[in-house]
Amino acid sequence: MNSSTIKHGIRFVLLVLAQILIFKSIDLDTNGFSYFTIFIYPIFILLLPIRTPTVFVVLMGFLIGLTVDVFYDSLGVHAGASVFSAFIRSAILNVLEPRGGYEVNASPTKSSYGINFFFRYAATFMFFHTLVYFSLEIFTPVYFNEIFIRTVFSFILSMLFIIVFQYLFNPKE
Amino acid sequence: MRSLVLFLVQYGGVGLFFVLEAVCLYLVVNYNQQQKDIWLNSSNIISGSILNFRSDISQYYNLSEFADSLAADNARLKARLNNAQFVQTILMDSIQDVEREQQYTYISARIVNSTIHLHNNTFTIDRGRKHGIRPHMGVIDSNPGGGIVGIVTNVSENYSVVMALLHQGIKIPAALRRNKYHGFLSWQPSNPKIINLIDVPKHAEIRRKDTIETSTYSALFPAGIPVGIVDTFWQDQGSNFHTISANLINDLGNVQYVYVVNNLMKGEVEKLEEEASGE
Repeated sequence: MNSSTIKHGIRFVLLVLAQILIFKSIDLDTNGFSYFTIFIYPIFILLLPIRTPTVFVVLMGFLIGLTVDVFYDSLGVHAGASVFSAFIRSAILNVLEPRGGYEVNASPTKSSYGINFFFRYAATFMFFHTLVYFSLEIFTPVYFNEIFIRTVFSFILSMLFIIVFQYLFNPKE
Repeated sequence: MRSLVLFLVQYGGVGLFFVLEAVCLYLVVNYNQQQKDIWLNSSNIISGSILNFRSDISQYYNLSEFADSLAADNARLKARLNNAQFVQTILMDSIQDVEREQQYTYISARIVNSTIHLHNNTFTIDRGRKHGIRPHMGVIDSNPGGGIVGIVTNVSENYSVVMALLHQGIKIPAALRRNKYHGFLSWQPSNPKIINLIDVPKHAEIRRKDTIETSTYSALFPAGIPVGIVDTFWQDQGSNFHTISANLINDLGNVQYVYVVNNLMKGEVEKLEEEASGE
């Protein structure tokens, strides 16, 4: 077990704690209808090393999603969204690959590839994550408008916090 | 073993993705009340529409059976119409004693083979001797607008051949509906939509759009069935008769169901006429 693994393990725990202790209570609840959910835990999946096999990324997505679900009382919803976004992560990385290719042990961070890269990467990832999340939560295409509105609000706010996280901690890996 | 692990690491992502997504979906549906309700509800909608679709299809396959039973029903009802009855009304003093007797019955049949583009066209129908069909019975269209089809010529156990209206041998008495002048239906091999009415008396007043119908002279068809609509008419040189060209009321190219007319009094009429001519 090397230091990188431990680092990611600690990040897992801290992000889940932040999600369920802080961000779970932030919502503008109007008549029992919350317009947004701020997702902070996907940062864990976002920052896994680029060369991590998809199998492992998907498995990690499932794990962190399920953990969050236990506290959100929504078994399967966060997990489903995380598994989906974890699965498409490698495809997004392939599309955004810089001309020289990725370095062997690099993580897709702001410090390694710049804010421009990170923003596009995180935005694509988070868009699908929120879309799948609300599709699973609302679960019927009848309320497509609701799915759309909540996806947009949640996406913007989550992205804000994810970028702030990058500037605050500036993780190398 | 090592290569299997390598293979799974490299390509197992897709499989794992689908497995875990399925697990998530299962969890979502089973542990969340709202999603569970929606799931059950929409699976009912889906299964319901599948069942509907299935019954639509089976109905479609039963359609011909259904149509057969309807045709048989129609034949039964047609036999109860006025023109299928022989009126035994006798006027005595001022007391009118209306009495009717069945004159025509109908046998429904389906056309199984037909030609309309030859010089002498025939139809084959799926009813035969077994069903009570005899040669020289009239055949009419199931089309509610009327129309006749032809005359039975050959009968086998289960099938019959019908000499179509579009046959040069056809000669069926018919009349103009408006003034009851008689003639004979006859066909020239030219157009399967046109029939001629020949031997119409010279003094008969004919108008375009007049209806030609089966006449009371015919023992094969009940009177009053529309056959065609007058289109043009002319008088051949030196002839004392008009020839009328009329558009057929029915399209013999797409007839499916027909009724074979059984005249219960035909034997009686024929016997009488034979006796009379024998004297």
